Amino acid sequence: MDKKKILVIDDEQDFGKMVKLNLEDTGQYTVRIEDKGANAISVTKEFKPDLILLDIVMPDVDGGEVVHQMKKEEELKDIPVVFLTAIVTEGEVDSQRGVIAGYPFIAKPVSVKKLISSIEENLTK
Amino acid sequence: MYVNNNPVNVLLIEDDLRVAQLIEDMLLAVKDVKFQPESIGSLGPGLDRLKKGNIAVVLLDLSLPDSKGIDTFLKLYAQFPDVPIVILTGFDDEILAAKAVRQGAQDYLVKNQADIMVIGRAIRYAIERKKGEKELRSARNQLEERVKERTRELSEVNEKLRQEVKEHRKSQTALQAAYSELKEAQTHLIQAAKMQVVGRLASGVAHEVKNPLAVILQGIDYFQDKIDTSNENIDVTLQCMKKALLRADDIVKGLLDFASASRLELVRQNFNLIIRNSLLLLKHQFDKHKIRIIEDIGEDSVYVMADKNKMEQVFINILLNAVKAMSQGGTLKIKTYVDKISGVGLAIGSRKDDIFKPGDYVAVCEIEDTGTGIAEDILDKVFDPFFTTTHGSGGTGLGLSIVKNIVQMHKGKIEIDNKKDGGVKVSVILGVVS
Ligand SMILES: Nc1ncnc2c1ncn2[C@@H]1O[C@H](COP(=O)(O)OP(=O)(O)OP(=O)(O)O)[C@@H](O)[C@H]1O
Ligand SMILES: [Mg+2]
Repeated sequence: MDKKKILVIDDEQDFGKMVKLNLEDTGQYTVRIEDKGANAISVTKEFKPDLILLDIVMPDVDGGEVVHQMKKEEELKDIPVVFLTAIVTEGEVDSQRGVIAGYPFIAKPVSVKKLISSIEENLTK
Repeated sequence: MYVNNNPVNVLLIEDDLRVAQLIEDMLLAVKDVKFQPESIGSLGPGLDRLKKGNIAVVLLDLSLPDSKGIDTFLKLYAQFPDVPIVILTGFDDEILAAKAVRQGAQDYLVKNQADIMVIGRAIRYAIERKKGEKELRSARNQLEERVKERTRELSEVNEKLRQEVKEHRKSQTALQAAYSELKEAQTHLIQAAKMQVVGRLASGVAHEVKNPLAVILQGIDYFQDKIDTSNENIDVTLQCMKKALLRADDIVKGLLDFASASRLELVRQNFNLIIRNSLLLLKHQFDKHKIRIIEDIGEDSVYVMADKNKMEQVFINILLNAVKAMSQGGTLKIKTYVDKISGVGLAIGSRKDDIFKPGDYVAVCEIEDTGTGIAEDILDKVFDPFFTTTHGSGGTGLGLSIVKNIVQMHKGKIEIDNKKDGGVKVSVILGVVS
């Protein structure tokens, strides 16, 4: 089975690095990291990920804006996106059943186990 | 002494005409005073004569046709207490006469012994004495009157003083009440200001702290997978790091909850249902710590305007505190009822405040535990953010500050106090809607 391609867009570079390490370590994923919201569209087009882990709060272009732009692109609009952010609490995510504004949500910090289960769940959708 | 040129009218009440004549003669013979005697033979007509007035002195025989003995004197004296009376008596009746004198007659004369000198003097003395007596009496009356008046004045002053003391006390209590109200308002303000600052900080801090935490957690997970965790020291170290990280995350989470209380979605909710839900969520906690639940929650629907999730959070926090205070087991009583605010503050015993008005209906939930209780000197700190006595076991001290914040955002009231028989009682009060 092919490795799934995961794109992590997060301005916290070290987080991206760690996620890449952990995910690739499983042998199941190929991970690319991008720390600028502004590059999101071009990198997505080029990398063609199976799923995007997207930070919300980023200094240049935030996650909400990135999603908005992707919706306008025919080739990008169906790629599953999982928001990953530090501004909501786990409790809030749970009470919204993991979905905010129609998108699945993961609160930081997140354990590798939870991250993977969330990725798997949203890949199959 | 008695010197007067006016005639002195003497009424002689004597049935023995000879005696009467004799005495009249004697009186007329007195030189220095002009006596004007008149005689009457029995008591009744004598009294009638006295009623007409102008009698200076009465010479009274006790033994008359219509009255005998000491009664004769008493009847006359009763009607004319101000007229001097000299008793005329025979030899054999001196004892009786003396008795009359003790009862108020001025003097007595033994008929056969009386002579001009004696009778004149006796009459004059009688008049003088009576006059003195009268003066004394009026002086005494005056004195009594003055004493009475003075007493009245004094008691008036006294009453006024008492009234003043009462007023004073009243204004003092009013002052005290105003003072404590002010103080409460001040505490309230400080608290509110603190909350605001914490709230504003929260989202910023949360973001800045959660990102590094996320990196560390990913790192720890990586190590746990990569390093030889059969080395027990390494395993323990990684576990400790992870625990510390999750603890830090808990604090940030608490802060966020705290800040997010300002984003409430108030909807008409069944108060009793919210509480039942909260209890259900903690059932395994109660079982684990062998805590007995006594539930007295009304079956009826009681509606309040509430954010269901936030209100559940309130009760869960309160209940978790109770569980923590009863880690070795105990009894948790949870009771709800609807109450009408009376004129003197809440019926549940709190002071009056401006949250609820008299006549308002409120839903009250009382949660009582049999745990450790709260030391009196920290009772007013338990709502402070970060105040905790359970630091060692993972408490952040944000629980009750969040609870209070949420309750206040619901325009409700929360009270916490020690129970007399140990343990803590928490009351949450919200306004009822129809
Ligand atoms: N039912 C109770 N019995 C005894 N003490 C209590 C009770 N409820 C609160 N307290 C005291 O009030 C303090 C503050 O409570 P609060 O809920 O704010 O923080 P915490 O419970 O210590 O921490 P956290 O809520 O984050 O777990 C507690 O540490 C405890 O000392
Ligand atoms: Mg608590």
